[in-house]
Formats: sequence, structure tokens, C-alpha cells
Amino acid sequence: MPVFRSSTNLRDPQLAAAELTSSLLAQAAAEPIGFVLFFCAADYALPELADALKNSFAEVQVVGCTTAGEISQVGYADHSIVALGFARGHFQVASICVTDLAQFDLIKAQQVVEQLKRQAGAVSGQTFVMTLLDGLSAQEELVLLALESALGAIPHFGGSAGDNHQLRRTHLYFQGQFYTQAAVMLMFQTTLPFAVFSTQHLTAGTDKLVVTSASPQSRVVHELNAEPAALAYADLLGLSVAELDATVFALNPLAVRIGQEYYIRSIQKVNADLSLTFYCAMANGMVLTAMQPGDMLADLANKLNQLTPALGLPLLTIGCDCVLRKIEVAKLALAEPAAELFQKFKVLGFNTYGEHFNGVHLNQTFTGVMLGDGNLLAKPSVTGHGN
Amino acid sequence: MATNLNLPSSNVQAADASALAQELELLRAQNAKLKKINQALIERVEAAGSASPYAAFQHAATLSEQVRERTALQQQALAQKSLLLQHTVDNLAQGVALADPSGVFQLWNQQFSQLTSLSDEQLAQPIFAEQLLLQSVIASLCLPAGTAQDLVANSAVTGAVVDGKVLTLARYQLSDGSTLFTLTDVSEQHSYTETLRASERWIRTITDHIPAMIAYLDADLCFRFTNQGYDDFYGVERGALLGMPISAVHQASALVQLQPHFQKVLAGQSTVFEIDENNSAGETRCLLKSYVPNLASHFVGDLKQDTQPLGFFVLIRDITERKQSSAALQQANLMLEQRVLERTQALSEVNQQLLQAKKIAEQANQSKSQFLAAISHDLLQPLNAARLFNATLAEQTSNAKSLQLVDSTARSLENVAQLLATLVDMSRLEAGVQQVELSKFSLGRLLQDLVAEAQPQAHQAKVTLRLVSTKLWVQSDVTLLSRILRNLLSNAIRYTPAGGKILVGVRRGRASQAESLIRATSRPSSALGSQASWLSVQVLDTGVGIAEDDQAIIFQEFKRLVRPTLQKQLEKRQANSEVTSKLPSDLANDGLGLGLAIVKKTAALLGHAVHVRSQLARGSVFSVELPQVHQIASVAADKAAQLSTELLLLKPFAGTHIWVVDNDLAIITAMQALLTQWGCSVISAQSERELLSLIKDDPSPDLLIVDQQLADGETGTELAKALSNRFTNAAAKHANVRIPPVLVISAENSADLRAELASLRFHFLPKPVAPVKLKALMMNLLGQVSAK
Repeated sequence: MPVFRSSTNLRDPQLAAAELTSSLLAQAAAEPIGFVLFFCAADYALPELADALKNSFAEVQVVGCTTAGEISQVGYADHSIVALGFARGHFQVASICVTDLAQFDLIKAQQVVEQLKRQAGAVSGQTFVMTLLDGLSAQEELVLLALESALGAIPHFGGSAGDNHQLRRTHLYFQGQFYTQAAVMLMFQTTLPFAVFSTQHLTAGTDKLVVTSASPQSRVVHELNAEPAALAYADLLGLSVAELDATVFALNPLAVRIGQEYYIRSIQKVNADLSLTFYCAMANGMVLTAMQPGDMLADLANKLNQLTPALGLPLLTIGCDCVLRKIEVAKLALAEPAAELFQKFKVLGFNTYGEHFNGVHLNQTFTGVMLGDGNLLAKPSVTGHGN
Repeated sequence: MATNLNLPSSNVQAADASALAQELELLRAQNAKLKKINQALIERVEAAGSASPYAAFQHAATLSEQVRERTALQQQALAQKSLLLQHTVDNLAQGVALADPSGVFQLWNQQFSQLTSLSDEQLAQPIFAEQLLLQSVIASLCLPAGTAQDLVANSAVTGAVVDGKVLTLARYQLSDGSTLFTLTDVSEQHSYTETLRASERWIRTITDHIPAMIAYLDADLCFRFTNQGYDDFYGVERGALLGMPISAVHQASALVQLQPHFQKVLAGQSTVFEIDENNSAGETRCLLKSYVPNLASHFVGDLKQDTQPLGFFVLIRDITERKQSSAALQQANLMLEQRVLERTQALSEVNQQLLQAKKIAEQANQSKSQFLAAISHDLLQPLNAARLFNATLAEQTSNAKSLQLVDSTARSLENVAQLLATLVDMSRLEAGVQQVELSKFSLGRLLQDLVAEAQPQAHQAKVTLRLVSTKLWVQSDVTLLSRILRNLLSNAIRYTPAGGKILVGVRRGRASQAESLIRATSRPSSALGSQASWLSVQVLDTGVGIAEDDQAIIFQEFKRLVRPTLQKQLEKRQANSEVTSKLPSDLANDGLGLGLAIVKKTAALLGHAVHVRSQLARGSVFSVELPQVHQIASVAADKAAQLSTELLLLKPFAGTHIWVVDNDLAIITAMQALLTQWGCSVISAQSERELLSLIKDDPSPDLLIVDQQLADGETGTELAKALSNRFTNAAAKHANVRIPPVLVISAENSADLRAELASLRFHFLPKPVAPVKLKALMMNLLGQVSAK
């Protein structure tokens, strides 16, 4: 097996790190691990955890981030660590940590991409890029646009780190250290077939709200339809402002339409002045459409099933799952079927404060990459695999 | 844009002002909101493209949308391309299959499945099937086991399938780890390649079997081709020289010698030279090397241009043996000339010796002839004289008793003459000086004469002698044949008792056949007409016969058969003889026993075979074989035959004037007596001088008789020629004087002499001169004279 999965609920950073290490090394007896990716709950003692991981994995390169919940082998989880090992024979992973997000322009992006390509080297196979960003930096859109411009046709996905709904600080782990206000960019070269994808289950309703006052830098919308935003949103749902919470946000999302697509703009919180803070960039004049939720798991299952014929048996699906989707699952008591679905497609991942898909910053989606074993049902066709 | 604003309804039926004012207020508030919304929307529209985070999002989303659209288009195009590619691949003559890095076939075309006889389902098995499939492909290609392992990436193997196709299976490793297999039907190329290979093999076989060394070197003096002979000569492994430099077979010193030739041939000129080199066995061989440049030609416009040679062809022949044999041949030639010279010298020496020997032999022969001639002359001269005297005496005697004595004397003299003649004949035969003068003559006439001659003898012996006459002619020597037959006749008479019979006859054909005819007497003689070119003269007698044992020895010299019959014969003859004589005339001949020896030798000289067949007490047959010829009419021959039988009257020559010259006084005396007896007036002399003194003014005689052998080396012919001038002069002066005939008498009876005499128109008689013959000749000569 070219990828190895493990997770731990141990709270002690040392023990947790030890368990992850021993589990991965046990699986990788035959194939040396070249790279480890982990997602950890934000409530670990991060400095200790950093040291423990650094010691445990020694020479192996390790990258990770904090989450708003993990997806482990048992499905949605909290207060745990999920770790993925990648066999050196099938993967060459290059990584760069960008700490000065505000200065990340196109030129910088090009330099980073060149560097990544150099690091990834001449391993045959195909390439995809994964980004992990500080989910509270509010820099996602600008960084991702620059990166996308530099990447060109290379498929890209990623997620913004979370902090268990604390909305205070999210962290990225790179070379033995946790960072905030940073991004880690990973370039995977792999011989395995893969597909980068994104899906969401919401459909457009008829109600519209126009952003009439917003602070673009802080993602705060003061007014909708020239009324206090929270009031206008609550009126739309027929609720009082006091009733508004994360679950309401998860079940009643707003979206902006660009071209033929509706992009969910998730509400983070209600502020005291009845303004709303969003997880993504907002601006005056945006027309928000009230969305109707569909069957989230059915949508996801459908998407994943579409991918498998081209990839063979799934070896691993890295999922960047919006924190609001986890809330929806919890609200609708769908944890069990969700776990089953995840197990079927070998999904591991974390709940994000935003997803990245080909340079676009998304909310309330399931975005990720599926790696197959390539043992396809061969058929007499020149149509190749991938995508 | 449809909005879901919470606008109050326009229910304005309430008439009170406050209500109106309230409504107005509401509308104003609504208006303000709408203005604000309007403002925000305007802002949004106008702010598109600014550097705000939302603009970035909007930009990214738009971009993403565009990428999606583009990707969809690309995928569509790709799908179309794929379809095209699939068609293309399906229409390839080659079988093509692609296996992914894990060895599973991803893609193949129909040809591949046909050529491998594997169904789509078999090929599509989602297992690591490459090896398995390769095995089956290789099995269907009849490739040797283990080829699957040998078929490494980017290599190809070729094998034949059952239906006669030849396929090449090739394997290519692609950069993404997948593997491409191609199956190509190379039957045609294969057969073409096979043909090429076969012809290449042929050329190689031919060049390897040519008894010469062949090589090709490129311009860098590296071998590009060598044949078996070349490799063998230099003792290198077959083909080991290919690609090697010339220095691989030549040492530096040899290369220095060859260098000028390399330069010449690489300058485009052929070169041929001889050189000594050591072969692999270390023997020095003489090689004839030819270098021919390989001129690469190319065309510039219409002009053919020669460039530098690409290399050159080497043809080497080992001419060691040729040179050796050539040298040996030259040596042999020299030797041969030497030997020819030596032999020639030896031969000329032998020739010289032979010439010498011949000269000596000729001299010896000459002296023998001279001796015999002298002996016969010296013996016959006095005998001749005696016979002439006796003849004269007989004519002068009338007393009967005296006449009987004279007759006896004449017969004795005759016997002695015959005995002498026999001895001389024998000697001539023995000495090989007897000359043969062949002529054609009538056999019948000859036999008549001989039988007539022998008749008295036969009569005396009381034996009947009979001749069966013949008209046949033969070619032989009359004298010699007469001698043979006389001997046979006299033998037959001698050995036939009284009352016996002797028959002389001629048979056509050879004696052996004639003999058989004698035995079968009933057989007609004409049966042999076809073989008439040969005749057998036979003398048959009823005599005592000869024992078979004795038949071989009777022809030997001095052999006589002594038997009682002979004694009886002697007694009989003595009894018959009226004159008591101690030596009967015929016994002188018998005593010598030379008769049959002479017959045999003479016959051999003539080439006539003599046969004898005899039975004791019954008789004998002697045969002489001789060639028959056609008759020729000749008066002279008839006359000559008549001569011996014609006798002339006494004194027929009265008044005839005759000169006789002979150095022997006794002969002159006898001759003068005889001629005088015949009525002639004779002047005789012993030499020319004496004659001239005697004749004085006498111009010429009627006949001149000269002896050929005169004293002091003078010859009768010389004398006669000298005198003939005198006769010619006399004839010119006196009309009544005529040129006299000349008679030459000689003991020598050679053809040369006779030819000389004939040319001088002189006449000839052999010594001893028989008076009868002389008389006959004189009658002939003087008759002609008198006729005038």
C-alpha cells in the first residue's frame, strides 16, 4: 500500500505522537514513508505536540494544521489527531510555508511554484497541489488567486485551518513548528491515479438579499437590503435575531451567483451591532441568494462514486469538509451514515473554515482529492484515466 | 432583480391622514432603502475588477468557471481525438497493445487480438496479466521458451505462426511506466531478408571457396571484409579482422613496403605487385597482390565526378608454386636443349660411323664383286677357248672315233662350264651382288624352251617329260627364273627312275592352295580364277620322293640325300653310257648339292616363294609362286626366244671382214679359227695399238668384235668409240663404206654395261661365248648389212 492511515484520541502530545508514529511505521514496514500529513484538534498543547512530532518522525517531513473537527477512520471526530503517511516509492511531496500572506502576490506565487517543482523533482506521474491556510487570516482569496495564476493547469485543492469554533487562532505545522497567519503549500507528485474534486448539496431558492453595507477587509456585512444584516437575515428566516446560531447558519446558507454557479458565503457569527461576520470576502452590492439544503450525504456519495471508475479502488480520499457541514450532519443525526460513506471511500481529513478549489475560496463544500489503486476495469478504449 | 423586501401593502383605503402620513413615511423609508440598495448594486457593478478580497474571489470564481468551460471543451476535443486515435489504431496493419505500469492491458486494437488469438475479454482481465499474455503470445508465435524473459524493454523478437506468417513482437517502455507492444506481420520482409541472407551466404560461400585471398579495406585502412582464404593465410579467426586496422596482419616493416601501394590505390589508381610474405605457418610465400580502388561516383548535373576512393579491394594470389614451376620449367628447358645438343652430337657420330661402315661394306662388296668377276673371267676365259678349239676341232675332224671324242670333250667342257656357272651363280647369290632385272614375258614360251632343252636329258634317263602349255605372262627375271626351273627340272629328271613321269604346268593362285588342288585332283582349276594374280609353276614327278624330315634340309647348301636309289641311278647311267667315264657329266653338278640351295636363294632374291610337297616312293611337287601380268605383245621378245633354237648353216659369212680385239691370245686364236671356219677374213689384235698397226689403211671392217676387259685398263667400249670416229670419217669419204656394227664380249654382264652399250648401239654377248649364239647374232647383224 502506498498510503497509510492512522489516528489517535490520546490527549498527551507525546503519547499521541508515539501512537501515530508506531502505527504508521508498522504499516510501512515494506515501504519507507517519505511524507506525513496530519490534522489535529486545536485544543492540543501545540508546542508540546510540535516537539513530540518532531522527535517521533525525525527525518520524515511532516506538515499539518489545526481543525474544526477531524475525519478519522471512524468518521467525524473531535479532539483527536489524524495522520497520513505517504510511501516514498509513490509520492514525492514538496512543501513550502508562506508566512507573509499579505505580501503574497503573483510574483511570489510564481517563485513558490518553481521552488515546489524543483523540490518535487523528476518522479514520474502526475502532480496536484494542496494548500493549508490560516482560516482566520482573511487572506484566502488574494493568496489563492495569485497561486492559481502561477499554477496554471495543475489541479489544486485545500482547506483553511480551524480552531474548534473558537474563532481565535488557527495554526499550521511546518518543520517542527506551528504558525499562524501563514500558508503551507504542498506539491504532490504521484504515480497513483487521482482526482481533485469539490461538491456541495445546496440549491438556489428565490429570496435575495443585497449587501448594502460591508467592510470587505474584515468580512463583516453591516446591512442587507439597507437593514441591519442580522435583522434582515433573521426576518428572511422568520426568526428572531437571538435565535441565530451556527446551526441556523449551516442549514440556511446564503450564496452568491457568479456565472452559472452559486458560491456559498457562510456566516461565521452575529455581531453585537446586528452585523454578520462571514467566512469569506464580502462586498457592497453582492446579491445573496437564500439556498435550500439538499441531501448532503447523497450528494457526496454520488460525487465519490463518479470518480471511482477512473481511479480504481480508493486508497485514500483527503477531505476538506466545511465545519458547517459537520454541524448539519450533527443536527440531522447523520453521523452514522456519514461515517459509513467515509469508510467506503477511505476518507480522512478535517473540518475547515473554508475550502480551496482551483484557486477559488469556497464555503460549505466537501473538497478534496481521491487516490485510487489504478487497478481499473480495463476496457478497450484509449480514453486515459485521471479527472 | 426580484427582491423579497418586506414592503407594506398598498392598502390605502384608510382615509385618515395619520394613516396616510404613516404610509407616506413607510414609502419614504422604503424608497430610502431602495436607493441604498440601488447605490450598493451600482457600487458593486462599478467596483468589479478592484483589488478587494471579494473582487479576488469573484475573479477566481470567474476564472474557475472559464477553466471549467475550457476543460469541458478540451475534454470533448480529447474524446474526439481519442475516437480518431482508436480508429487509427484499429486500422493499423500492426497489432498494438498498451499495458499500464502494473502490467494490465489498457488498450489494444483488433489486429492485436487477431494476431494473438486472444479475445477482448481475455485481454481485459483486470489482473496483472502482461506476463500471462506474453506467454500465450509467445506460444502462438512459436517462439522458443524463455523468450518472454529475453524480451526486455525496447527489444523485439521474431517468430513464425502456424499459418506461415512471420510476426515480430516488440516491446517499448514508455516514460510514464506503461509498456507498448506491437505485433508486426513481417512475412514479406522476412522472406526478403531470408533471400538477402541466402544470397549473402552464397557470396560468402563463393568468396570463401575462391582459391585466393580477398579483402576490402576502407580509406582508414581498416578491414571491412575478408574471405576464408585471407583469414587462413594470416592465421586469424574467421571474421576477427573486421573493423581491425591493417596493422593487425602486417608488421611495421611490412607496412613500410606496402605504404606506397596504399597511397597509390587511395589516390584512385589500381596497383598490382609481387611481394614475399610469411603465412601463419611461417612459410615464405610469394604473393601477387592487386589493389583496386572503390571509387564512389556521384553526379553533379550531368557530369560524373569521381571522389576520393571509399576504400579498396584486395585480391591476393599465392603464386609461389607457379613461380617455382616456372623456374623448374626454365631449368628443364635449358637441360633439354643441352640434352638435344648432346644427342644430336651422338647421333651424328653414329651416323658418321654408319657412313663409315657403309663405305667399308660397299668397299667390301665392291671388292667381292670384282673378285667374282675376275674369277669367272679368269676361269671362263680358258674354258671358252677350250670350247672354241673343240668346236673347231669337231668341224675339222671327219674321223668317227675322233668325232666321238670331240663330242665327249665338248660335253665335258659344257659340264665344266655349267659347274663353273653354278659356282659363280652361288657365289653371286652369297655375296649379294646378283642383280635382278625384272621384265614381263610369256611364261609359256619360257617353259617350252626349258622343257625342250631338258628333253634330251629326260630321254636319256628314260623319263617322260611333258609340259602343259600356258598363255600366261609373268613378271620376273628371265635368266634367274630359268635357272630356278632348270634346276628343278634337272633335279626331277635325276631323282625319277626310268619309266617315271615328269609334268610341268602352271596353276593359278598360290602354291599352298595349288597343292591342296593337287590332292583333290577332281577339282577344276578354274575355281581359283578369282585369285589369278598369282601363279604357281609346278614341276611334278613320280620320283623317289623326299621324307618329311628331309624336306627342310634339301634347300641347304652342299646337302644331298644319299640313298640306295641314287646308287641305282648311278649304275643305270653307267650302264646306259656308251662311253666309259669315271665322271659322268651330270654328277659334277650333283656332287656339289647346290641345285636346290640356288633355287631357294634365287627365288628369295626374286621374291618368289618355293614350296615342296613330297611322299617317299610316290614323288614330289616343287612349286614356284610368281605374280601374273597381262600379256604384252613384243616381237623382240619372240625373236629372242627363238634364238636358241635356230641354227645356221656352215660358212654363211664368206667374204665378211671382221676385226677382233682381245687381250687373251688364246681367245683371239680360238676366235680367229672359228670365224675363219665360217668363211670370214679376220684381223685380230691384243690391243688398240696392235690393231691400228695391223689395219693400216683399211678403213673399216664389216663387224668389230672387242673384249670389254683389255690390258692396261683399256675397255672394249672405249676402243670401239675411238674407232667409230675413224669409221664415220671413212663413211664420209667413201660412199661404199658403211659404219660397222660393234659386238662387245664380256664376262661382266651388268645392267650398267648393257645400258652403256645400248646407248652406243653396241651389241653384246656374255663370255664364254657359245659359238651358236655368236653365229646367230652375226647372222642377224650381217644379214641386215647384206640386206642393204
